[in-house]
Amino acid sequence: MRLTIRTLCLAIATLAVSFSMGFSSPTQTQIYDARSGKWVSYDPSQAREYFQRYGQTPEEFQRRIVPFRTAEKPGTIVIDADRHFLYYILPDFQAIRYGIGVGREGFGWAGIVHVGRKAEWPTWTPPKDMIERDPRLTKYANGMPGGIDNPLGARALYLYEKNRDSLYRIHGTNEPWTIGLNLSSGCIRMNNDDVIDLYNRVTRGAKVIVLMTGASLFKGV
Amino acid sequence: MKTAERRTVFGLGTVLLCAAVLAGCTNTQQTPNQTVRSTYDTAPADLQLACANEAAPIYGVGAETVLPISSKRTQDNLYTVTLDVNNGRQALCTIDSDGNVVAITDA
Repeated sequence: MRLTIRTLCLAIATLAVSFSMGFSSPTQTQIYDARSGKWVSYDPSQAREYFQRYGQTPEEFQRRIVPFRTAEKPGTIVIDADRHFLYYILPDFQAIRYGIGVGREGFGWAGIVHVGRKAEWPTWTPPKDMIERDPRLTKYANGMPGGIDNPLGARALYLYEKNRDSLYRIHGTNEPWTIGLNLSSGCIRMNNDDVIDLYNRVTRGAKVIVLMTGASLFKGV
Repeated sequence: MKTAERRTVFGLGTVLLCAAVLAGCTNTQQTPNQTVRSTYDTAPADLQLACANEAAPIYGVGAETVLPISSKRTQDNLYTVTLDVNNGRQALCTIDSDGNVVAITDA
């Protein structure tokens, strides 16, 4: 019940903040269609078709080292949810940039948290409100074992606010074509190769800054 | 006009006509350097954080309590970043694409 109210409050707060800032929905991704010479919506069907055709997401979402000018310490994670990028800060004003999937409308959030714990091939236990939305998940109420079909994918970084689990994670996925989209319930998705790479670099306690225009601010559970 | 001359004129005209048609069919649009973009032009993450870092001492708070909550491009090389400066107070930061903070004011 608590989670359902929290989810409803987050959704309402997101919409309220969004309208106050002149936005009614999260920023979406567009892709350039060379055949028509136009920018078109990179929606789930486009993304799935692109992945089926090329075997990966668009080039911009591939892992790479980029310049990143910041006073944040190396080892910090910065999430730019609007542009669907996660940055792992390196020394010398550089960062590793990864493509990510983020929360759908009403499920986005922004805030400063930290990595509370890490897990390999984690068990996935859907929250009660998620089961209420999708009764097919009832069979996993006690947890779905880790594996390639598990929605959390190969690794999970559990995000904490002080000593409390925020219920948000950075995790892999069994749907790699969703990178670049706004589909999750608030968690940050990465393809499994990328999340394994990040997992091997990140330490417990690492600071995580989540930026998302118009999203509700995470103020704790 | 002699037959040979007519053939020459006809041939040249045909070549010129084909060239004109091909020029009209050629796609002169250049493929963008990037193939994906966001629907809304927000400031790059490092610029947003630069604003937060600059605003913290001005408002007498720690940098870890200042959070960028929205941003947009206002001119070719200028962005405006809205900051949550602890306990709901907000500030506006103007920053250029080179990371130079131009101004910070109360929102």
